[in-house]
Amino acid sequence: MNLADLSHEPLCIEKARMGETEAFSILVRRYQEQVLHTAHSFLGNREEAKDAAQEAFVKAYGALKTFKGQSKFSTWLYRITANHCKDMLRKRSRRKYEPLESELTEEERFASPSPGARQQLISQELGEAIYQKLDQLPDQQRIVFTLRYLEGLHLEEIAQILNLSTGAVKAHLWQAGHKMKKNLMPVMAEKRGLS
Amino acid sequence: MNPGSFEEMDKDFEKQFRPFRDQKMARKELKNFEAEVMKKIAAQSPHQQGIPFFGMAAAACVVLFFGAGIVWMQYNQPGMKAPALAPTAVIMKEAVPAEEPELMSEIEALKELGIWGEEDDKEIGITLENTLSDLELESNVDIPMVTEIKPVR
Repeated sequence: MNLADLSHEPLCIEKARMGETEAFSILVRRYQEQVLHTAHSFLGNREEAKDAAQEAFVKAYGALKTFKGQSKFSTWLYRITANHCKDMLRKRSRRKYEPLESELTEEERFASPSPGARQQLISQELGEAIYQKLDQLPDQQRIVFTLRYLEGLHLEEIAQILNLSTGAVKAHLWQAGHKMKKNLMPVMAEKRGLS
Repeated sequence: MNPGSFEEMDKDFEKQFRPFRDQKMARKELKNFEAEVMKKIAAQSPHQQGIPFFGMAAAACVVLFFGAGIVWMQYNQPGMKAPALAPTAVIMKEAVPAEEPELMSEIEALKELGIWGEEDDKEIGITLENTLSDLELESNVDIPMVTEIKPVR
């Protein structure tokens, strides 16, 4: 495959579908950050998220023949990742919240060469609280809430990923939002006040 | 649902969770990620390992199935030996074509034991004509013919 082909996603998908693993590795490179971020948003644990993200790609490779191109490849990948994480959440007991390491901006690095222990503790506690409350939501509400606020997707994108109407997505968000507001917002306000 | 209040709630949550979703992931989190995925795919790929392994396992199962059947029937069900042996003999014929004399002597032994019949001969392609030509019998040899059938008392 030459370099000009690499930027052409449909060609990459077609070649990967025919069993060219090199073409699929290009797609992995392109979407690895998105898939890992999504898996972490669902699971809240760094190591578990890495396993889930890798498994999602393996599943995607196995299911490439079913990808008809009716939705964007990224939407299809979100769907596989969300379903895989949903299965994992059903099977496992909750793990400790462990964030992915983040890249500091130059400004942040200058202001704080190493984040303070207190700041880290607050962030850890806040993360724990969020995932504890998310665990109390029914599956569909949790997925919709995660995709909307932890992933920042639009309502229409979520509707496409989950094969729901936009109205149904709003209804799930509304119900999830009420529960989270009642349970989580006081904790968030308290933690942010401390930081 | 009050649309106004949904918009308000939605905006509020968006703002509250922005610090979580806007964090740029450190590059080291993605170290070896792609390689791990490709390794897992290679491990699952049927072209690499699956088919040969599965094929060998299936072949072993077939051999065990028929082999165990023959052994069991030889010792327990003399009346049912022939049907079970017929497909086995076909497989044997295809698998060991070079050892025909050996096979023939085995078939003779089975015939003496009464567990090999004409049906089985037909299954593996042994006909009277073949046998005569194989044995190089001369055409003018006298073969006594049965002309009268007497009832057995």
